[in-house]
Amino acid sequence: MGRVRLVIDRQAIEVESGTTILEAAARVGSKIPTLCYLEGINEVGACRICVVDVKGKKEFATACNTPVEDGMEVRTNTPALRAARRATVEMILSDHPMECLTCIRNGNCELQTLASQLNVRTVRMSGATHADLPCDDSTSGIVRDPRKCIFCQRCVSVCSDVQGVGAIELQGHGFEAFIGPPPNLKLDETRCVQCGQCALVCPTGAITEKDETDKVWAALFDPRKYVVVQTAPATHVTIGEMFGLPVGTDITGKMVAALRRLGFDAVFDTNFTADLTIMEEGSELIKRLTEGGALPQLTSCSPGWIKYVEHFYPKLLPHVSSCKSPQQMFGAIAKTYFAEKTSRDPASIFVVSVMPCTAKKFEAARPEMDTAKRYWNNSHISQDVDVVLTSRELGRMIRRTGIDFAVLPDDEYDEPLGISTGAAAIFGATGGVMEAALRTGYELVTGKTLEQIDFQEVRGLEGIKEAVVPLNGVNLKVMVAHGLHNARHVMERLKAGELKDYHFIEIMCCPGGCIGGGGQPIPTDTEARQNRIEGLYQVDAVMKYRKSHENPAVKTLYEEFLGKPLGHRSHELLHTRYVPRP
Amino acid sequence: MHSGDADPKVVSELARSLLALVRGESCGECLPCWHGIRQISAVLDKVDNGSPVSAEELAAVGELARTVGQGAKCGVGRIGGRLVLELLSRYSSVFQARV
Amino acid sequence: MSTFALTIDGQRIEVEPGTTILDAAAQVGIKIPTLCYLKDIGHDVGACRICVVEVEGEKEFKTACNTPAAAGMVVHTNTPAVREARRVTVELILADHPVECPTCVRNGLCELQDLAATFGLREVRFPRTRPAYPIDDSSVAIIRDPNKCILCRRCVTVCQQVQGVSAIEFKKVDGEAVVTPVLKVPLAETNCVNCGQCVLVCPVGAIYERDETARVWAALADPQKHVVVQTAPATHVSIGDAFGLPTGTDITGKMVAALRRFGFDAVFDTNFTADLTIMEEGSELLERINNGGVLPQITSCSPGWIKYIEHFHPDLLPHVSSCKSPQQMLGALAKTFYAQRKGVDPADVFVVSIMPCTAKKYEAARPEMNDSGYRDVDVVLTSRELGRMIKEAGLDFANLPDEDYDEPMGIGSGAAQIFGATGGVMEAALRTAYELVTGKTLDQIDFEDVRGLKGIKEATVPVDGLDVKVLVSHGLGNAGILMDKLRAGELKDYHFIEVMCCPGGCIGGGGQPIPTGTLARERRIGGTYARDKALQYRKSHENPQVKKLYEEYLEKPLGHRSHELLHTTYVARGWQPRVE
Repeated sequence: MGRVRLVIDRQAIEVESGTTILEAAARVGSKIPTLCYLEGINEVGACRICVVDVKGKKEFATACNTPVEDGMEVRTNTPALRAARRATVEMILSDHPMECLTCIRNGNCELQTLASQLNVRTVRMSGATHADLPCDDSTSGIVRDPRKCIFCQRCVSVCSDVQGVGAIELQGHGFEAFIGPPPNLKLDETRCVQCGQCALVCPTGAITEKDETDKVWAALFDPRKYVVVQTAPATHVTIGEMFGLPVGTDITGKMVAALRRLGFDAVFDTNFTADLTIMEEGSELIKRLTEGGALPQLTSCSPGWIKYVEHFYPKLLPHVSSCKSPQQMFGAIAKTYFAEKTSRDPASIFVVSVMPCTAKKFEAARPEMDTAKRYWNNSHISQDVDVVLTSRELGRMIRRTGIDFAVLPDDEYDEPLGISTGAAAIFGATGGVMEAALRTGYELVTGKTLEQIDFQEVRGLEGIKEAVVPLNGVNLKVMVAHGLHNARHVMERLKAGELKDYHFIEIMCCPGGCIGGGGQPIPTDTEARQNRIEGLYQVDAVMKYRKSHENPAVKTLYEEFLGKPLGHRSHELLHTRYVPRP
Repeated sequence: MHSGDADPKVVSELARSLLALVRGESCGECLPCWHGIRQISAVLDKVDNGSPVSAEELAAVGELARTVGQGAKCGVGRIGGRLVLELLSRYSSVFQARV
Repeated sequence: MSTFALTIDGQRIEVEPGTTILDAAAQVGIKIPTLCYLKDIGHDVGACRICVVEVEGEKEFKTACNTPAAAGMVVHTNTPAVREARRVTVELILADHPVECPTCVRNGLCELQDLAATFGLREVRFPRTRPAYPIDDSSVAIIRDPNKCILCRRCVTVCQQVQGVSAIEFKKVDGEAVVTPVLKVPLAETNCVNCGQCVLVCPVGAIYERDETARVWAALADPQKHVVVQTAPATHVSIGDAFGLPTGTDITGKMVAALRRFGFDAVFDTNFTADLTIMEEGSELLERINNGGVLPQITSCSPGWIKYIEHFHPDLLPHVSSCKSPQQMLGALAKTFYAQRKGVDPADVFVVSIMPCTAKKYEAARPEMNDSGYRDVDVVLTSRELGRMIKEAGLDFANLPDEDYDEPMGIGSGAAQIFGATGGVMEAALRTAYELVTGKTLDQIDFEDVRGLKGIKEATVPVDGLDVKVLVSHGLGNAGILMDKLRAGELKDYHFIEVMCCPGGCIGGGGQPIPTGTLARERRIGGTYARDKALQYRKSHENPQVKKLYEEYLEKPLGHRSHELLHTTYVARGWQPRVE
């Protein structure tokens, strides 16, 4: 590619052709303000905040999607530009509810920040056209408040282009236009998989997770309830961000301490059931390989992915492992094994999950996820998992209590459901479930100790990754995809019969895996994803046990309660079925 | 006065005049009393003049009264809050009738 | 003293007697939320009741900020009742607070906004009960919006207790509790010295500086105007706060680069005229000592202090040095010496100052400040306003390359840099006076006695047989103590007194980035002395540009031109508002 010379704010600069004015300006230290822009995802120039003055051009150019040209002279900060930007923000604010102090995004809102940055001190217009739109809280995971929508269309881009779901679109024209599901449909009536990627990219409070912290507060102060909590692998490296710690910091010990201070009766780890998942799912794979069954086998821990297959590829559901996700395995085990072991009334046990995920709220509410009720044949027992909190909701609970998170002393999980391995820790990163399965699969099949346990080929942010692992004479072919758009590529090839010689495929709904989940702290961008992934592999590297089958608590669970992987009790408690959806 | 046969007029008048007293004495030095007593008065005024009151408003009055009764800086606010709480529980039927 | 134990949320903790519940809880990692409480100014009136906790055996909630911990106390900070009380209290405050966050000057730096986020309130059930108040923009420096006031009364405490000015008070007016200027007159008609300490402590956007950034943008865009800018010593270590740099970081080079990017025609340093001030003020002191003038001489660079003495101690004005402040010296020189040298019409020169100070806005507007024939300084921007301009321009401040000031008013010595910290003017004066009087080189140039945050500091320096006795104070409350002593004749054997209006000196000025508390002051003072140490010249009389200025233009300190451009007069204002 050629080089282009231009002048931005009187600074001469040479950049590669194809660079946008926005990127070039950043290199000379001018960060042009943006609102709708989202690198690589939304570069539509819709908001007109990033306008710049190009010498010789009659109209302002939008810096985010205008490529540089040789000899260009760009000004980013003239009186006219400042006035134009301010007027645009004023216009947006005139149709935006002034509810900052009660808004969930207060303090983390791009519109709020931009208004300050551009020194907007008055709103001289009035003309609210969206003030009466109703809030859509039809789904379990996500709430849409169209009054706060600023039409940046980031959510539309991420939903159609990154996730390939297309549940929300720009609907209608002119003043009547709005962003959402087709008219007369609620979000719950679409193919929305509740991945929450839209909530991550929304600059304002127009799309958020459904806040269920009040239910947890009530349970914590209900003396009749024994409240247990489980924390997903990906939360171990993300909660700290909301308290000023560097992105990717391992805050496991502090999170445990904080949860104990919040008043949870027992603090357990979803990592424990992640190890259990490997035992079950690995055994299932071996069974399919030896006794026959649909191959390749597809992973099943990501609830957004499950809902996606149910909607888009129902015919391929037999490929999906019947294993429940670690969250649901935990709920089932807590209200059966744990209740029995500690002689507690299973109806009094209240299970809270801390998840990086909005789709987990949907998963926990699935009608079939009431194993404990069926196991004990007791209608007073609630769903296996009572409440799912996203990372963001836990952050808010901790803030509200005034716990000084960053200086908390490290605490340990409770036994027995708090013991886990490094293989479980990496479930949070794309490729992690595959790597964990390979570590265990290799040793169980060959009976030999695996020397090189780091499978670098399946790590990292590349959309679709592949590896071949020699296993007792068989070359095990595996594939890893993350982000549903990548999943679609894999599924189309599977449908076309091109993946017949593959054995195992890991699919995660969200880009980067669960560390990039829709319930994670905002901002969650590529850099945050990379740092969190790095954090998880560091946690793995220093663990005492690094293979799921070495987890002593899992062994005990099989000895005392489950019998063996894929045994009768496992089938009853740890496996599930799927429903084709329109 | 037994709560069962309380004259609603008398009860609301009593509440209102007690509150007016507290409101006059409230110094503004502590916020729950200063703001809270006004908000309570606004709802009780509605009860007094026969306007309909929502169940949410009545519940909010209870929360306000508890907050002021336990959290105010001095006896003025605390007594005000507790009086309201007392009236709400003793004559709940009178207040509920307005809902 | 012996420690004792108490229990907070099930955790046992040993504390010293006198520890509040709030501090005790912090020691076990529990940050009890607060709103009105402000430790730095000793404000613990328990007004907001946000910090309520339950103490076993007590019927009522206790406010953690001002309740001492006691032996055996069992405290609960997070019960449902406490949470309800806090939530309802925040909700009550929000009900009476205008929700216009995006257009509020304190958006993103507002303690109420933070608190609302912490409590996660999603709805306010109560209507506004307070009447609408007019905004008081009578003052050239400080604007009050009583509608946003949450009645925390921090501003009243800082104005009355720390500064001893009492321009504002808390009272009930027409049945409404309000914070208001005394006697309900507009702020500009009170004794308010425009120090802006009230702005620094206001948790919300109820008190703020007059924003004049628009005038500067307009001047920069006006091709007719030759726009120059000067940066006060204290800004060199403060502007970075607004861009995530550690408090106290020396950002001089980046600030110069940013100003140049804006299009200023010349970027000058107030440090240059701080050195000039030392030459003039030091010469004035020597003249007073040698010719029996009024002693002790008192410094005059702090405009809040000047207005204070004009109001409260007008009889003592003869003690005050006649030197203008460095800001006004630079303004006067920019429109005479610089305009002449550069060949531009002084009518077209537009002087902008970047100051840590709101009172500088008042100073620049004083009618006598036009010795150049024009208003010497056209616009004063506070550090916060410059921060906002940099943000609006989208400059990546933290990563800007360092740049140098322009000739001929861009060099400042280490002595000028320390003007920003309490004791700094005194230290700078001593460094120069010693060498000028004795003709010897000063070996130990760090005068530790006059440094630091102690309210009133003293030192005695032998200079050529004379023991020069000096005093340093900062914060007007301390200045008031000194003035009472001076009037009582107790300071007869002192020679020189430095008085700074704001606690900590200019680095703690009312125009500085928020938060400016004790910690920020300490760090900026640290940054100030570090920069002093690193500079090539550390004594004002060594500044080559100052020498050149005297050679080419002013001739000598206290000379004719100096008197015309660099010295001023004061007004005995007396008590305002006048009580008839």
